[in-house]
Amino acid sequence: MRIVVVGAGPAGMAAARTAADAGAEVTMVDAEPDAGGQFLRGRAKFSHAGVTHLRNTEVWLVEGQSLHLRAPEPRLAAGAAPRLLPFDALVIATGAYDRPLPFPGWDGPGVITAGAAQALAKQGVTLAERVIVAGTGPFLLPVATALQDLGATLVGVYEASSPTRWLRERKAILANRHKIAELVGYRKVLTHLETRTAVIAKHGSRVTVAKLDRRWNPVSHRTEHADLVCIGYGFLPRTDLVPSAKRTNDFLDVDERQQTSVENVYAAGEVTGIGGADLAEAEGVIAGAAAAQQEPPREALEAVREGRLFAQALARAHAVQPGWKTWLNAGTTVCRCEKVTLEDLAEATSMRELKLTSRVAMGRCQGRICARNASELTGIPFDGQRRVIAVPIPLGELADLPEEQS
Amino acid sequence: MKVTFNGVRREAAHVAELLPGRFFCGIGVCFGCVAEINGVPEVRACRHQLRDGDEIRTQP
Amino acid sequence: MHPDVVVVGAGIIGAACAQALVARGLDVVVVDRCGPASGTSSAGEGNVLVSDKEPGPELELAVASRELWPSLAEDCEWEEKGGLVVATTADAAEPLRAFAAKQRAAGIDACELTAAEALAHEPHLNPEITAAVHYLQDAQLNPVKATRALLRGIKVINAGVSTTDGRSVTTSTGVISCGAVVNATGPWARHFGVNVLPRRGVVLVTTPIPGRIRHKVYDADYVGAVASGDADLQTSGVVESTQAGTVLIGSSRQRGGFDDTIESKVLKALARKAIALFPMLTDVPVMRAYGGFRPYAPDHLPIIGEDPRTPGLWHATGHEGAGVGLAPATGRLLAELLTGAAPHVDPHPFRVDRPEVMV
Repeated sequence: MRIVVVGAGPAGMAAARTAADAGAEVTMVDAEPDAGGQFLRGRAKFSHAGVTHLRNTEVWLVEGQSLHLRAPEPRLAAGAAPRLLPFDALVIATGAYDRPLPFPGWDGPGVITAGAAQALAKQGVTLAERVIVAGTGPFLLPVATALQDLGATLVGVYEASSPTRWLRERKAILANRHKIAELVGYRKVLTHLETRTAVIAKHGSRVTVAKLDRRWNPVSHRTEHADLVCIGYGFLPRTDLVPSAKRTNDFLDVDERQQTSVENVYAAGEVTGIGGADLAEAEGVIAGAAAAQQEPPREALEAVREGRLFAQALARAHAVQPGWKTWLNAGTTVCRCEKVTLEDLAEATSMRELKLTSRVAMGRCQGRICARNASELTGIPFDGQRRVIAVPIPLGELADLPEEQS
Repeated sequence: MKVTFNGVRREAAHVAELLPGRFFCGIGVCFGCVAEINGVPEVRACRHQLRDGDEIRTQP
Repeated sequence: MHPDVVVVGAGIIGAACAQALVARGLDVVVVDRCGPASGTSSAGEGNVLVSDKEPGPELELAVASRELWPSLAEDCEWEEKGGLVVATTADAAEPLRAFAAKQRAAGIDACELTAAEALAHEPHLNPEITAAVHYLQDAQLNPVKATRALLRGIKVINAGVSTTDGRSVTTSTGVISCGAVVNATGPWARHFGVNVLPRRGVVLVTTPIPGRIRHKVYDADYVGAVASGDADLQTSGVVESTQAGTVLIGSSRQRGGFDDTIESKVLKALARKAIALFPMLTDVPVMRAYGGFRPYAPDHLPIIGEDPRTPGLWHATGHEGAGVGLAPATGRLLAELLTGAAPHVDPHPFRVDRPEVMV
């Protein structure tokens, strides 16, 4: 039985190990040079009997029971990496990326996502002296901590939501006490934490910081000076490889065995909902076992049940509130690739019509960054992100595709 | 690392330092940082490990 | 609400019909299940072509449309870019020249170029071409903006239509009674009794390379692929850029119902043929592929007219891949026939009462 796992983060590694231990022939494909995903970037030493780890390799198309692979930088690719990889079962563990919210200046120098700051910090790099971390969710705290540990001056950590929302989530907290304990590790940055606060404009090093009401409408503002603003308003899943799979709020729907609505395709980790590395790993174990046609271990099922309580509470407590739409002015960029501003967003009845009239979401990122925001700004229902080609591929490579599938 | 950036010699520890306003998501999703690196066009620079002698050219 | 006419389908053809009917003073409502240009119209390249049609009724309709478009295409990225048709093999050169000569005799501006002249027009073109013809009338527009422009001031209801008797339509939000109904549902037109089949097409979109490709450039074998009735995959090299600088690459034709899977063999064939025309495209990445369904009539002619079996039910469909190019004259012809005015082109070839069309 051939199982392919896409993604080598906590979910992908767990799925690969579990499936291999169940006797399957496993290939784990990942775009990065090392396993670990964004969470463990460079810190995971992955090696497991029965698992072939294809590094620096991207999947650009799932066609029937095969994956089409490519090397984004040919010289880094493993020598004889296949271009077509057949599978009997597939596990999607491609994770998620930060959702940015636009504000005047967000497309200029000195604004990056919190995930980008985290990735840089894990490589020992900070881009500036004075930094701000802004957004919503507990993920802001490790990012701020990492920046501070590298010597940056933390101007502020701004959480747009209010922590009192968590008081309504007693059940989730009780089931996930270890999560609360993790907060202690971030105590150094908690003194910089301001809630119901956001960056709503940046011009050079002048950063407009606003106090927000419950709906995230600014109620007052002040100016801070910072060279770098790192933003993250929750996460968007990377679901490109299974465009036809059913989803809710763009996260892949899975059953209790982590199977998607597509036969033989399983999903695990942040691509099914945001809940942290423990939940991702437990989902990976279940997906790996189910893909290998084994009963998932009881402990993993239990961990997923508890982890999802936390994930759902997290989604409620840190849901993006509509007041962010007032942070923009007519000339604020919505789509970075095509330089589409708020006033360029024409009246339309569908996302497709909106894209083709304004060119929003039509550039290189194909709406990964802006489509969700454009949908909320216009009130046009978000149609999910369905792309046939998951990553850009040179025409020469397409022309040279292998003839027949095995 | 000593690199050539748009024809100019530069010293940088990470590609992000060369691409302010372009480097954004840092994990290959936003395509803001695409550049020609050592002759290969359309490389997402954020995923490129900088080495001495690299030649980086931004695209329009 | 009791409009004179309900147009079913808010694609480019439905929009052109509605616009022409309103221009003649009729009260028109358009009904579409997904909104303006949500089907075939937004899945093509927005071409307004005369170059790919041999002399006959369709070319006549195309020429009439080409004359109407500039006055209708306000704020639609209208571009008179011209078409460049090239032969890529020795055997294909003579048929292309002969085809162009026939078109010239029919009044088309088809200018034979030497390879050097063709390269002066398109510097990145493969110098190995064996013949080239420049069509000055070929143009392009943004089909979504064009549809919206035609629909300006016209009521569009977002609803599906289940049935019609020619005097009313039953929609998902209620029954609308009216004087007449126009079936402009493109590849879905079979639902209302005409033999139109979906013919799949796929387009690749590259990252922007502004200014590198100037015309619509296509391989002369495209004309043969359009005229063929074969259900199997047929591809032909068709390359052009948009105002945003991206390059659109077609074209493929495949019949197999409404299956919207995009296959790698189609991507491969399209890429090969595009590179054969423009070798420099080898390193240019494709960032997107999209597909759509052309409304295909087995005898390759649009269907424009009243249904003899259901008085009050009119059809305007079956334009295959040429709907954008044929829309204004189609709308005008339909409006002329419906109001009893003298038609500006001969309507007989497009009548509903054709053996291949009545089902």
